[in-house]
Amino acid sequence: MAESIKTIVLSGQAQAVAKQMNDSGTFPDSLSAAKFGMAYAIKYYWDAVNTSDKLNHLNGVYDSKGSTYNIGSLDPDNYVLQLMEALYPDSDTPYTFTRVLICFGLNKLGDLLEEGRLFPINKVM
Amino acid sequence: MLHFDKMTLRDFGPYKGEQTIDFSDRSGVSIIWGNNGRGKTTLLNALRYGLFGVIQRRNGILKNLSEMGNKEAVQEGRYGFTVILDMTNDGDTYKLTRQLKLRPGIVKPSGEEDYEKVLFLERDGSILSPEDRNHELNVIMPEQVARFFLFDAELLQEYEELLETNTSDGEQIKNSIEKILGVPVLQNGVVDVEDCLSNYEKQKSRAARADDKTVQLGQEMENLTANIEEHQNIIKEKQAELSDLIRKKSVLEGRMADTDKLRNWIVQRNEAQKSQEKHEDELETVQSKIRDLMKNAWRGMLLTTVRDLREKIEAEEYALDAKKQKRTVADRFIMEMKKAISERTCPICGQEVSGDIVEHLRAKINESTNEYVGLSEEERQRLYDLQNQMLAIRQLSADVSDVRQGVAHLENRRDELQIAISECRQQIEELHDNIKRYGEDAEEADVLSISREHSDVEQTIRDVRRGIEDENKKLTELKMNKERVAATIDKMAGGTDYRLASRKYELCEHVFRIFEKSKTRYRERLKENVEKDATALFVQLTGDKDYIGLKINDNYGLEIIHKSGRTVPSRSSGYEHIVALSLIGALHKNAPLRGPIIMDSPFGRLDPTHKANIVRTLPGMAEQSMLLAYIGEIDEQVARFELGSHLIHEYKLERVSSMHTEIV
Ligand SMILES: Nc1ncnc2c1ncn2[C@@H]1O[C@H](COP(=O)(O)OP(=O)(O)OP(=O)(O)O)[C@@H](O)[C@H]1O
Ligand SMILES: [Mg+2]
Repeated sequence: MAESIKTIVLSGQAQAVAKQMNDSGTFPDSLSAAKFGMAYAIKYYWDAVNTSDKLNHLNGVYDSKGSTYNIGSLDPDNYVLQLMEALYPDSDTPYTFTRVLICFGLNKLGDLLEEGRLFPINKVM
Repeated sequence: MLHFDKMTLRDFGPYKGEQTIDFSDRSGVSIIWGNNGRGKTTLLNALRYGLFGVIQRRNGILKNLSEMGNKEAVQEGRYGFTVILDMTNDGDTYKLTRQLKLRPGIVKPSGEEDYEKVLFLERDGSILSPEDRNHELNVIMPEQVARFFLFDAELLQEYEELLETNTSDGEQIKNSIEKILGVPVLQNGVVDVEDCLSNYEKQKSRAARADDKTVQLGQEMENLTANIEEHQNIIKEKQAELSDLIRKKSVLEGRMADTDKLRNWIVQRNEAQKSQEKHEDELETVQSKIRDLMKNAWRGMLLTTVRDLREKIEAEEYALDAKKQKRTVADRFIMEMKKAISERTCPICGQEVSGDIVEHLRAKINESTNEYVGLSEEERQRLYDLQNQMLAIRQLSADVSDVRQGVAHLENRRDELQIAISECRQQIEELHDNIKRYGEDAEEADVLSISREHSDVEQTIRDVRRGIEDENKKLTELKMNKERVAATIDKMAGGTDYRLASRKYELCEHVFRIFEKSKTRYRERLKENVEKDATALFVQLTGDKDYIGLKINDNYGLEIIHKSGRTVPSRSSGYEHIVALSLIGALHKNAPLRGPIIMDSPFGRLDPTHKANIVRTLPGMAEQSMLLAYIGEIDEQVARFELGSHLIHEYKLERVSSMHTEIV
């Protein structure tokens, strides 16, 4: 494991979306909303995030004004780590990519939220 | 015939701002739908106010008219209210404007005295003088008979009083009935002649006293007359007392009905609150179930991606594996050939292998070795890596499931619950308004004390009635005595004065008899007609084939006749209602005075068949009629069907707030 970071920091925008999603009462916490964002990005926007290059580029785009999450609580069972390794076998920055995917997905969900189409949530799962 | 064309209200009760209700100049029925507290009774009162300047409340006439000004308007600085009635009567058009407004110079009133009453009546475009106006209004619609035009169904039970004799309430209604039928013209004559008669009687007894032979009898006569007057006064007093008591009784009955309503509303509100709480609890559970599922929903969403990934890896792994497999097979074959060369025997058949075959085998071995090279070292590594990745990916989908269905189900339930909760809220708010509206009365309305008071009043009423009966008996006795004395005097007295007085008296008595007889005849005929028309209506209204008609009594009270010919004792309150409606319909037919019928919530106690029957007969009862009904009081489809082309308009009283209703 080349990457030795212990935390990730979301972008300010993404953080705001996660907070709103959490406030809706549909998610137990904003971390679950964040991971929902990650899964949403992978499932529905794969073409935009399917290479390490794309993610590395996006990583430079997002600011770091959001909350900081512990890797320990983000990925207690290393599931995310394994997922990242499976999706991006050539990369050794799984959690940096995780952050990028979360920000990307949350931004897209934020658009839905603005248009009032985020709920019922099952429609976007 | 009187016809209302339209009514315009400004800040009258809940009718905030200026609102117009167009009754149209056509004949037929308008229906105005409004739930409890929206303002049906207020509309009836607006008409009453327009015509007579009075507002009737459940417990009597409203004294402080300014209370009727819309409360929200008051907050916005508008005081007072206006009712404008556009109507036609026998070819003339009228515009009646009645207003309560602030006196000039006053901006914010401190009491009733800061308001003034304004009244205009225009006939065919010109304003009438106050005298003409009052006369005209009294001709168009005399206040005494208003009850037959503007009626509140809650008061229909009053008509039951007509079946009892000597009740002052019944007497009052009877007077109204005779008034609408035009009896008073004759009645006034009777009363005038009766006055003359008692004058002549006095002259007669004075003459008897002046005569020596009958001085004592004359005295007795005068005493008897005084005595009779005394008892008549007692009866009048008792009747006034009875009137008061009956009024009190009906106020109490109103209160009892209110507390019933109130109790129902409270029960309904508590139930709504309970079901709101239940729904809220369930909503809480559903929400927390959703949150539970959403905690790991993201894993389920990745399943398809993971599957794609797995399929890709599997394909690559398969290709490498196949390459490896081919080499293995080839290896085995080469090994056999190599063995054959070195041992010079065929490993299969055991025969010797010749030299040229050996050469051939050598060439074959070379060829095969080149063709099935197997995996390169890179490929070997790749295969190894892929196998490991595969293990990891299997891990990714182990124990993960897609929770979308479950979430969808829960979210549907959540939406249902949220709708149910907001319905409960709405219902609770409306009930709360209703409860608050009756709350003031209800505080005193300790139900028990009201019903106790009610039975006390009933007892007193019975006592007073018995008192009146006793007085009447005494009166009859005294009158008989008087007649006897008068007869004796007639026989004994011979003086000219007496005879002259006696002749005048007799003459007057004849006139009196004629008047009375013609009045009685006229009345009898009217009664027959009323009975006939009421019966016709009743038969249309009732569904019961056993009931064949109505029989009228002296007070215009109506009894139901059974097909056996007997009258039906103690009818139900629903039938009471139907009988009262039949009477009113019949009165409209026989009255010289014609006008519209406006009914406030008339269906309360009736079953669907009777409701439909009444709606059907309504267009025949009056040229113009208006039905004020709460939603559901009668089925809307039934009403429309029964009225057909007689239905001119439907309005709805819509709530904006508890203090603001819009007519739409
Ligand atoms: N001065 C006022 N300003 C505003 N609203 C008023 C005023 N006076 C009465 N109201 C409201 O107007 C409504 C009058 O109700 P009304 O008795 O006309 O209703 P209804 O339709 O006959 O009801 P129900 O079916 O219960 O007989 C009440 O809700 C009352 O709170
Ligand atoms: Mg009412």
